[in-house]
Amino acid sequence: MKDLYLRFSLVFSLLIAISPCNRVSSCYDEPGWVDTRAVFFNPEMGNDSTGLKPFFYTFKYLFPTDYDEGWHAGESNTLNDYRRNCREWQDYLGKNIDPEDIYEVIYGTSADSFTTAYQTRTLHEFLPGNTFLKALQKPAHAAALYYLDFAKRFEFQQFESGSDPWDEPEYYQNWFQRDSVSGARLAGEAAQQVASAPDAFLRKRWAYQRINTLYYQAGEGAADSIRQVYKRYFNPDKDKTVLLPWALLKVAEVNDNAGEANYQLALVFDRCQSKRLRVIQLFNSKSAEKALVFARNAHEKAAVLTLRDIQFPGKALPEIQRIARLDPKSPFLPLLMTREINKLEDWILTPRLTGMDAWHSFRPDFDWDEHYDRKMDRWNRLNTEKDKAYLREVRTFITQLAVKQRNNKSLAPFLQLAVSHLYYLEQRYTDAWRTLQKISDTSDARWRLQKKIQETLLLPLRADVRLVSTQAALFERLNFIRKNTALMADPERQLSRIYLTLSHAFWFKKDVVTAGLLFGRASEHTATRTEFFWMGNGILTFYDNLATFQDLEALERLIENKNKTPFQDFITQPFQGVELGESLSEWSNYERGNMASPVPTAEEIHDLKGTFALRDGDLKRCVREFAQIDTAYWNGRNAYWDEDLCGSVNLIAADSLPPLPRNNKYMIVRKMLDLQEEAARNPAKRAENFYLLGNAWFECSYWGRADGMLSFSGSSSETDAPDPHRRGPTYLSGRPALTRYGKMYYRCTRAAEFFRKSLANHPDPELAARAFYMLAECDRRDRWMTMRRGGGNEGGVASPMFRMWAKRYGKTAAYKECLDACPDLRTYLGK
Amino acid sequence: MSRIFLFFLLSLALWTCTRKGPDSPPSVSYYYWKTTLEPGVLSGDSLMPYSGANAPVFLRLFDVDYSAGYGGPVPVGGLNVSYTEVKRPIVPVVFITNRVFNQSKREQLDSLPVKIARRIQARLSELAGSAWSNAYSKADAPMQQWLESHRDSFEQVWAGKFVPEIQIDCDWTPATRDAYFHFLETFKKQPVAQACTLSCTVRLHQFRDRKDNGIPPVQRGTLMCYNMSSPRDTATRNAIFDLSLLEGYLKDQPEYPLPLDVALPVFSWGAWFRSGEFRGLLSGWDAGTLSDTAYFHTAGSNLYRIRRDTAWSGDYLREGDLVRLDLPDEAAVIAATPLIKPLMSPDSRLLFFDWDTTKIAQYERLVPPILAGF
Repeated sequence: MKDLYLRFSLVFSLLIAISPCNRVSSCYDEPGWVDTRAVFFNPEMGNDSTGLKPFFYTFKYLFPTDYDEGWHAGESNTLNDYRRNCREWQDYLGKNIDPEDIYEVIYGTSADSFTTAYQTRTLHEFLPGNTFLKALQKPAHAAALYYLDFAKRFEFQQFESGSDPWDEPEYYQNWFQRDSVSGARLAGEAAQQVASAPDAFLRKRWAYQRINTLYYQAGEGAADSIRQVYKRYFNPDKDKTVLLPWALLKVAEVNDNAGEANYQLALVFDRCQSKRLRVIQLFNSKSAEKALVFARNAHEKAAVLTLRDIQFPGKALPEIQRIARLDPKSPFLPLLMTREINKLEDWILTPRLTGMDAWHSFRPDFDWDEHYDRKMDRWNRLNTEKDKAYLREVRTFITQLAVKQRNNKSLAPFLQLAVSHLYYLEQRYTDAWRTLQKISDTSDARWRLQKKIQETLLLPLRADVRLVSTQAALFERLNFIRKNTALMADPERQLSRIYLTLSHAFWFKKDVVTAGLLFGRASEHTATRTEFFWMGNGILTFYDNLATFQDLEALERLIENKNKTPFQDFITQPFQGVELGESLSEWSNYERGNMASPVPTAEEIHDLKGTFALRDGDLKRCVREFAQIDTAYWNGRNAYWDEDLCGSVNLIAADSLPPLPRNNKYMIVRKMLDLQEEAARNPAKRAENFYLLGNAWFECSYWGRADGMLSFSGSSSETDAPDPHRRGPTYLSGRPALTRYGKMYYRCTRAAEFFRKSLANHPDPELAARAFYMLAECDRRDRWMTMRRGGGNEGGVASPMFRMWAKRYGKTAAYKECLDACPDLRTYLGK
Repeated sequence: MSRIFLFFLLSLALWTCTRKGPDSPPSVSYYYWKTTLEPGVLSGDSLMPYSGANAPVFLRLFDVDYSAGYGGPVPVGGLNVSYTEVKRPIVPVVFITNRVFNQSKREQLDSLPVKIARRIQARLSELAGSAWSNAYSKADAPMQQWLESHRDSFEQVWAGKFVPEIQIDCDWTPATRDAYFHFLETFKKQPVAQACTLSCTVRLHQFRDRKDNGIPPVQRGTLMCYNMSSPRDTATRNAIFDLSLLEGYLKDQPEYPLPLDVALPVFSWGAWFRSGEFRGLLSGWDAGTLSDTAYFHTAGSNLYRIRRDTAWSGDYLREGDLVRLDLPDEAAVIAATPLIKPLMSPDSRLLFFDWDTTKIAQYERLVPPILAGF
């Protein structure tokens, strides 16, 4: 039976150990997926960043609803398309026209200012010297000028014509209402002009405007008219103009045939950059197969499947394989492969690295599901195995592709890097390293950077990180990476994940000092598992959880060392700008405020050391450490109280303490030490001093007013239940180490010891009454903690010791005072 | 003959007496022409030692331009006066482009004075509102009660104290004269204009060519002694201030039928040319900008050649481009004092265009010697 019980306990504990935590609600937001997701394979690599950056596997774009073009308008790439348009105008008007001048007129001036200059015949003053405008003002190009004025008028009608500009309040006049009367007029004008345009160039442009005006007028029959105009004036087989995909987007938007619309959207995606976000918003994955019917060749089919793949957050290898078969030269293959690798990194590495879950599309509402933990554990285990199998499939596929493409200079290095990294994910580190070293062509700066990143991940697995030579090799790579973050998609996060991985490596080798420094550098942008979201795991929590007193002394020596190695210098210097980025989250700053250095200050280390000593009850050592801390530090950390924690012999500490403004940690421990030393010297003071010391230890406990003396963070619902996970870089707790200090902190055992010592030293009856009262109070807290661990209702916890107290000390003034102060106690005692 | 000679002497004496200008230096004020308020401009601090805390700031509130999109005049570039407390007098200025008067329809021009007046009133009400809020926050309970029931009269008193004048700025031409003057006539009947003096700007060509340009129906004018020629013309020596041109405009002119203030420039720009063609004005350029010999070398007294391609505040200057630095030469402006003094009366003001904290050193060089000439 006992054996069964033990087995059950073991299994149960194991379930707790691997279940996700962090479901406590708080005033702060949970760290988001973007704060924890493992990402090492740089999405910038192998892809056309300008056009495809919005489609990297990122937190923002997992679902079509996330592609809020208005919200992310700045990230949609329009520049290349606009420049294409400018070149087309240059081809039309002559090579002596400066494309920058064309750009300035078309995209750099407001619609109203242009049309006003046109109408008032002041174009010659409008942009003096502009070669485009000068050409347009020649009689031969009057039709082109008229067209441009129309386009600007239409733009004005669409985007600027709103409420009366004379309306008040002046500063809030962005309420947009299209002028529909002008809209109809413009539509009619476009219809006339498209038929009478003098040449093919202008005819196409008028056709584009006609489609636009029909679209925005949205009148009856507009869809048919749009299709007719497109069909008549645009030829997807022959036209290279950027207007074709722009016009085709409108055609797709009014197309009721989902399959055909999807196909058209795929063509738009393929042929221009500026409309891609909108295309992803509109593409209907469910009708992707229907779209294939319309595709005329393999390239177009691949484009359709690419859109479906981009929208798909799951295992997309079959789709990628299909695309590779259809169109081996598809420009989107590197993007899709990179996304797949990023997904695998998240699924496999995120829990390993941070203790947090990978991204979930669905998470049951735990409040209503009592079996949440069990369900998640089971699914996590199953999915981990499936993910590993999938990883092998992806790696096999890309390896085969790498062999086929070995002579393709623009793709081969990318594929080899991918294979190496996938070996790394499979934990086949020798294969990963061997593949990496075979890459000889690093002409692309992004490949060089990625190689360095992957070497950085692999080095600790090949050599002892404690060796100076290994650290030198790491420094060389870290330095290179940090100098080349401009090539990264998300520099500060990608850097912080690298630091966190190295922290793990040093932790594994029991170098807590270096592990902590790297952890602190990583924690600005990477969240790791903790018991309370708002706690934030930073370097101090790391050392509080995992370091010893000796570790902290080694840390001090390292920081003060004037002859650091380059690696040591790297991990102890202040943050570089690129490591901070702009997007610090509130929890990352919670621990230490907005500090610009990841390295603890001398005061913080003394604070830690002193607190360690205090937990051990070594007041002398504690005072030695705290004495080296300036008072301003305590103020900055709110580590002070306005009461004397030792209380008074005339007071019950559980109820009240004498005031003592700005009583900081040092002063408190100093007094405790004085009391202790006096008690050792003077037997007559022992009863009193032990009572006062008992008060202080009570107040320093979880239940007291100054639990911050022994713990750096806390919550009102803590218990001394065992940690759900082993403490380390993937789980840190705000609680003192439970096996050593749990009873002292949560059950007031040390305070009780001092109250007993007080009683053993023959105090006067009043003092004895108070000491015994406090002893009973310690017992009550102990019982309270037991009940809380059991999940019971916290109301009405009592201790039978109060009855003993009442019996023994019922005639003292202290007894009467206590009853007067606490009606509940009076009720409990039946008085 | 002797009687004729005596009469001539008397006339000359009279002319000299009436045209000698103020005996003491005129008060100095500034135009403020930005869309956001710099701290201290309206706070009552003395802008400069010679421009006291009570000298009004001529504060451009907004422009009015013609918009083809809206098909009529529209306000542009409004100054944000939210949460601003005024502690010195202000003269609200509205700049109206000439093309408003030759492009707008008649009915639009008829309603324009009301629109402009209403907008000026709205801005003044905002400023008065800030003053009221500040007064309220400092008042005791009885005063707070009084303020609550006297908001309107507070605003009126405030306007009476802080808004002595409104100015309209427009470079009208003979072709738009009638429309503009009609606008002024209608505008001055608006409540906001009736409560104070109405003035307008007068450019040098309007000062000289009065027959064609007319005399605007306002109570006083500000003679703008700058922007004397077209910056686009390669033959122009200094488009902002040219003493000989100023002389040409002012010499032998009879007294202007309006009391005049005089405005002088403290701004500069670079007139940019490429291959003999005007490319634009490079605003804020001064001698300091062009002292960098890595990029510029002198090609004349105020001409500079670009040595190598460079981007400058959004403009792409290329090797070989020419920049003519137009700025008020100190000696020339000081030398202009005897020309402008006779135009002014004892209550005339000397205005400088425009106030900018980066130009304080310039003001300190220029303004004292000018005032010394009075």
